[in-house]
Amino acid sequence: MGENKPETAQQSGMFADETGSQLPLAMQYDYTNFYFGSGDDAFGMLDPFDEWYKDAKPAGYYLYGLPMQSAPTTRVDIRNTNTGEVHQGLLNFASYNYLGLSYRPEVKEAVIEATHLYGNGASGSPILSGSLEVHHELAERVAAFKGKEAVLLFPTGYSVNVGVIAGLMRSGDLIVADQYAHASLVDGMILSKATSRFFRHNKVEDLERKLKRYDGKKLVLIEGVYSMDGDVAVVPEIVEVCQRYGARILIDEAHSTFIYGENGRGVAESSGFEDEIDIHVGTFSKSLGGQGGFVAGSQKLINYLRGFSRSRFFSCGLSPVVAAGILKALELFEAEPELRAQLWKNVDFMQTGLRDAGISVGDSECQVIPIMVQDDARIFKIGEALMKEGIYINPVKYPAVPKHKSRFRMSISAAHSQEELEEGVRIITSVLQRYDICPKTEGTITSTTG
Amino acid sequence: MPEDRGYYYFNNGLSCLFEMPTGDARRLLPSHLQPLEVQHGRSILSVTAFDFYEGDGGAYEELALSILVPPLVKPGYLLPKAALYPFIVATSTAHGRKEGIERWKLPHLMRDIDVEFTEGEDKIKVAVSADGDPICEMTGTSHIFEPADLLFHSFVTDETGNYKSNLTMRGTGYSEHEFERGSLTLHNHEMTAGLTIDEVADYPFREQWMKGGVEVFTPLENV
Repeated sequence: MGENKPETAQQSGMFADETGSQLPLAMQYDYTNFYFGSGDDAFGMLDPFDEWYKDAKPAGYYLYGLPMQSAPTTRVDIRNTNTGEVHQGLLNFASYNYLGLSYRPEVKEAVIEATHLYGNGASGSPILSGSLEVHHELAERVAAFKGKEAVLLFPTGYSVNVGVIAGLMRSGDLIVADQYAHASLVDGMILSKATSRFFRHNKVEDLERKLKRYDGKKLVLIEGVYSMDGDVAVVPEIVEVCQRYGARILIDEAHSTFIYGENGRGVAESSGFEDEIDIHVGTFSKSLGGQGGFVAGSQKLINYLRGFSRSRFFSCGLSPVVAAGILKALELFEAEPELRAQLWKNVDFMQTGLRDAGISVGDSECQVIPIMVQDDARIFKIGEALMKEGIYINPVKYPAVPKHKSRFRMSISAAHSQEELEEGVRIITSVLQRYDICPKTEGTITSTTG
Repeated sequence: MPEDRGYYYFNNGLSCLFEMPTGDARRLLPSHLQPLEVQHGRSILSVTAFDFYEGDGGAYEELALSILVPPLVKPGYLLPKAALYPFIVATSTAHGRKEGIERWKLPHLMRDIDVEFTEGEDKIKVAVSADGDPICEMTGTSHIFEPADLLFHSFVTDETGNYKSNLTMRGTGYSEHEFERGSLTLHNHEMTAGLTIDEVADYPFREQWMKGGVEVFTPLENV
């Protein structure tokens, strides 16, 4: 038993125990097992990881990062790197593109025009030569849209959170984040060297416990819509506690800007607390189908961050081509409020369809829908079955989510047609029934392939 | 089976993992071990309780408080599920304590504890005290019980050196989940002296419950 060195070639890559039973490495381990390791060699984890990954990849991990051979529209062509097969016309429930703007002809035209004017990249840091006219125009337009004094653009959404948090907070300060906060928020906490705490998801009493023990500068980090669960921050309660303890608030509205609120300004707007929240973060990669992100707030805040957000001024500026595409997408968003109306109609249809089929979607109330499978061992098999049946959707398992909370993370777009949504519900229900993830009820749809 | 291994058979083994300050974890560890960080500045306290009914230490109950550390990884060798450093152990009998100290060099509370297991259908509660002074109450819950065979590295240190044992937990039923349904109450006590109790999470991020199992230790090896 225990730490026996594999003796034969046949044992390599397998966990052999005293009883003779063999379990695939893919089922025994996951990424967390290869994060920490003792020893003196910085490459000490490479061989064990490699041995595991050789087994794990064909067992299902290949489903991540599959090459897409078409634009991320509602139908996509995906190359299966395990078999080499190209799955054509898969129903796409994996891409963000919530408003279907990334491939709109007007956006493409704006991108082409900007390419002719600017070429490809910004060719410099935004604090030096990498701020082009299109960046200034975009920042002003976003500030006007958000109803804030100023906006600072960043080349990625990740770099916004890292740069803002580390730019503002210092060693000895306190940052408290919701436990489901995105990795970019967590990495900002780490980089700031401030004391970091986490409160239980949306539990304000736990947030209060963390805040009341501490005197000094305090910052609380929340998201508008949480990206793995599709549920919404309890903003009124959080604001009340933060005000009582003198804590500033940062809200990351990556998945809620251009979606929530009367004007689409996000959950801060829909909850009626825009002015009480100090720092508003958003991205251009989700609803607008572009890339990059922004922070919006007071002019003083933006002036300060311009000087202290290292992730921004030590990166090349956002590509002017992308910035021009975002500008056009923003223009379309403002001119076509029916896009958001259609998205919410699609969300309602899909949520109702899945719930009626007995499929758990957790506490989601928006276009981010977790289809709860809660079966870590079979999530990849189910993902393969969905792909064979015509659905492209991302499996999510531990450690991205807690153990036994594996799920498919579905993204709904305003561009999905009624027929596509119906087909999606039908296929997903059929496959989940086959795996006993949801109840088999009389009259429910059977597999499209018989 | 080689006789130099230690065998300890139990009805229930409950081990829950709680976030704790990395600074405390570092202070509790010997200098050659580093604490894992589950979040920035947050390491892992493992609270484990057993009711052994038979084995090398006889029948007794045990409470172990440990810090999770990186396992010792060597190319070609099996990877353990986790590695831990028990910084204090307590037992309900002197015989169990003697076994732990003399054979496995584990640091012990030098008096008997009282451990009360209360098992429900999908929940188990453990209340631990010594001479009437409460030490902790912990509740764990179940998900799906399946047979399991798990390898851990257990590190110990004393004045003679630093050691590791391969610890195998094999059970007819093992449940593990991260549904955050359990709880922990720690009391100020000699056993919990190294912990900032207010800073230890009062709910586990992982709950591990094994039924009908055996804990097998390989002989200590120098590390």
